[in-house]
Amino acid sequence: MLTVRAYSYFNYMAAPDPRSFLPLKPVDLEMLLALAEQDLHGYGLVQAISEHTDGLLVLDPGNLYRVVKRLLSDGLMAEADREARDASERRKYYRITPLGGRVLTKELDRLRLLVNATSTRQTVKRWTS
Amino acid sequence: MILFNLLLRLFPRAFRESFGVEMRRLFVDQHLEARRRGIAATGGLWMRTVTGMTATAWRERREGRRGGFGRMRVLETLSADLRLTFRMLIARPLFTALIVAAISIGVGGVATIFSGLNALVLRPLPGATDGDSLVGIDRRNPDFSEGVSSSVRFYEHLRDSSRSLSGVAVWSRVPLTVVVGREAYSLSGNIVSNNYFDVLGVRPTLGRFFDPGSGVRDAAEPSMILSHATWLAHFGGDPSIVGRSVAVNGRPYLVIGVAPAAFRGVFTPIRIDAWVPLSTQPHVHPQRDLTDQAWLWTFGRLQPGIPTSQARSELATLTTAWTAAGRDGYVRYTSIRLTPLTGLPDDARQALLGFGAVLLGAATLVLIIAAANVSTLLAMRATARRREMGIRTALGAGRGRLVRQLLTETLTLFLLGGFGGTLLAAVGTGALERLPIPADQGLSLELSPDMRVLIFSLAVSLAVGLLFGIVPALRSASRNPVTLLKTSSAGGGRRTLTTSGLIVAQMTCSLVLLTTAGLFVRAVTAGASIDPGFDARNVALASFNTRAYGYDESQGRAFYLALRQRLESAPGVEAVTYADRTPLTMSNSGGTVTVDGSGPDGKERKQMRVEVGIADSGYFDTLGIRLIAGRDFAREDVSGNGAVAVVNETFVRRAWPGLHPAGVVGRTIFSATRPVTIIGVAADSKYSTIDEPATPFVYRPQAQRWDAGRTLFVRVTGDPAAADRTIQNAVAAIDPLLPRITVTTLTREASTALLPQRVAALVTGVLGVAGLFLAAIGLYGLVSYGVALRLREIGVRLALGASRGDVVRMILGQGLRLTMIGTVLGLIASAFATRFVAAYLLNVSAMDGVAFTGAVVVLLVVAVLAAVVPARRAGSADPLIVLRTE
Repeated sequence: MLTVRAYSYFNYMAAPDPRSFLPLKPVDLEMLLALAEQDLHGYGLVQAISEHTDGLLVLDPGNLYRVVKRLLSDGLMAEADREARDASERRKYYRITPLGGRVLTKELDRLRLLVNATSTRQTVKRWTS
Repeated sequence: MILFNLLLRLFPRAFRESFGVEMRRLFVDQHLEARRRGIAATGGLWMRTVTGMTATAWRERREGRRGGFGRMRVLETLSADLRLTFRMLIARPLFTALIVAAISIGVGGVATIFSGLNALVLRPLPGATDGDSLVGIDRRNPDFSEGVSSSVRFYEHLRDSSRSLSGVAVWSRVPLTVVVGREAYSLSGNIVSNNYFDVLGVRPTLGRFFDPGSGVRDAAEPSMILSHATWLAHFGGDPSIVGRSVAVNGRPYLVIGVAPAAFRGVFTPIRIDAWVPLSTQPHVHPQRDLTDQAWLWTFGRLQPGIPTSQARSELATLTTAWTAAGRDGYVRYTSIRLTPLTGLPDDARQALLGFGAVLLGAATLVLIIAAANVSTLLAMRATARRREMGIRTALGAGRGRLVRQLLTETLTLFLLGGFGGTLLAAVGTGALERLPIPADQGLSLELSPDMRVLIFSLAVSLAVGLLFGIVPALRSASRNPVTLLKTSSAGGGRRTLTTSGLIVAQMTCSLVLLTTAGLFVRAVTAGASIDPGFDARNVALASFNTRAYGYDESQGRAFYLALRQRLESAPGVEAVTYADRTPLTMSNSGGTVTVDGSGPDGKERKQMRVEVGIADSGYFDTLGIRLIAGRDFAREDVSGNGAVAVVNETFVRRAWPGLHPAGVVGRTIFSATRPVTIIGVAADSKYSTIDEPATPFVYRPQAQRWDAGRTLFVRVTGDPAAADRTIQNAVAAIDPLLPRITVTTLTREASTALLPQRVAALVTGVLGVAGLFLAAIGLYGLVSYGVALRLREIGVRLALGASRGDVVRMILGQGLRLTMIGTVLGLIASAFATRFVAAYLLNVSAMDGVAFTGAVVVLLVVAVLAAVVPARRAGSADPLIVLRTE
């Protein structure tokens, strides 16, 4: 893992390897999933994630913006330059970056592989019956 | 929102700057949604936000600080401790919530009182720059018992001669009437020296302030500065107001600036709407002067690095030199006292500090109860966790490490409670701000907690947490792992003893709170039943100041006469009069008279200190004060004719002991050297406060001296509040351009007399209920725990033929024994503690039997209720099931 990071650091200016970000933390995954659908502001993000996780994950402002800060500095998401709908609506919207999209796809691929693996299926079968 | 802003402060600055605004917006949205869903959702949101924000803020800071190598190890263990702690707390949400709630209540009471005191007397003046170097300057007599205000010349002397102060400024209050368009408004104004804002370090929001370079006697176009609130309310926040002229007391004044919103003057509880410079005194305050009359409050700013004591001695020297040179008539006032400038005059500040200390003491008792309660809960849980401690010790955890872990848990709980307490304080101070305080001036109370209160609450929480957490932590970690692992349950005798002690302490504190609350309630009822000597029912009143309307003396007299005549002919009005003060509103003005012929030979002269009030004819009739002898003031008692007065019974008793009131009518007393004839004797009544001793009082007729400020009293047949329309109409009929006046009732105004008792009864009552509630939960918990431990024994007893009643009595007895010990100790403690509140109890004894008995009864009833529930549960246990499961 460490060597991959170092490698990606040297190639940062060119194009960071999406795989260097894997596996994603659950919160990061949820955020990127929500943003992949549409650009959202902070409250929208919290609501989307809460809905998607059946209310299991409700972020407080501190937690949310800590993740936002990290994803911004990793270049996985960015501020959306979006026209405000009206004057009172001057929130910051966030969008997913192309890099973020690639990371998300790779992570979903990884999860799909994991879920579909024969060993996983056997495990599930053993513990649900 | 205050709490959220404080939470935001925990984050590193850079983080706050990038995301602060967005975080606040997000929280507002979440809060709105939670509010829609009800109180439980709101509570959950706060709980989640406080814990989440604290934890993330800490992590943010830690990441920012990476690189400090020496602290790494300590931080790592700390972070491990904290992670474990959070896991422990979240694993038992109910237990955590219960403890945090108990601490929040305890800290909340203390924080509320502290927040109020902080806002009123501790924190430096809001809106001023570097408020810590501002000092109030108080000219006093050498033993500081009496003081005198500053004259303009004395102020200039200090300002020009002092080297230890970088600036000296003065101010006084003045009523203003401002006409905007066709509407007139009464404003509460301040008349100030030109350097007032510069000395305070206040910057204008708009325009400029007065020019400190120009002198008080320079003729210039009169100017005015508006408060931020007035600018918004009466001028629509229009920036073009600066440079415009508005009519003030009938003359044009140039608006030159708007003060910032945070600045509320030097005397903060009273709302200030506008400021005018000293040079406007001949117009707005003509009965004062710009030479030797003492009428100004003084304050200054210390030069950097100069201690208060040095400035004080310099100013005292300047004052002594001033009086020695015979520069004014206040020769007795040769000393100076310097006080921190916090928004209240020093006397009020001291009184409030004393009163606040009593309330803070009561709140501390609740905190002790809460802490003892939490301590009991923690001790019970420690028993449950003995196995865990045993295993960890066996695996090689050092004792220090275990103690640290346990302390971290306790302190985290108390810190959360500290935040909760601050939140409660925000609610509590909001309630205190809304207390109805009758006043003739607009009040602006702002008591909400600030950063200082949060730090105070957290510090108190940590200190109490340490105090109550260290012993259980040491004890839990000290056991030999083998014994810990071997015995499964059944606590040691020593622990139950400690717990019982804590319950007794809670009962003791509760009883002290209850007796105190009871005493204040008794004081309020006793105060309300004292006969004030006048009839406050059916009297409406309103205050006027004709100078503020731009009237001179003859116009003012004409106005008052016309108003009186109009009201006298209005339907439903029984009597109308004027006076210079409202009884029982703590206002007073004294004087000295010389009485002739007081000795048996009728030759002796004697000086008497008396209270003096100015009243118009019909005063005694309107207020229902009995005239014992002689007559009321009449139309012919005007300035030209001889001076007359009505005195009260106490005056007669003191001046001519043994003389019948009827016999003093016609006698002469001297005010200075002027002879005054007594024309009547009125019955004693209460003048300033409800618990004042009998006071010699002299009424002088309004017709014989002019004062632009008067209070109108109208006795009506029906509801006095309904007189509002009648009075407003009468005023509008005389001059439609006058500002709307405030009409209240005498009953409402006179209730100010019992305000400290009411506030104290309310606050100690709430604290008493909170304390009793916590203590009851503690007792319930202990008895339940005792039942759980003795379940086996109970089963055996029942199986051997003990009746259910026997079991209930046994368990109940155990709980009540503790209550009885607590009651006895509580009575002793109360007898000691209530001495501190004796000064506020009017004529109720500090050992009042009713209050003490009532408190004991309430405590016993609640204690029986708390103990009877688990006792009955024990009694209804099925011996078969109990013995099988144990």
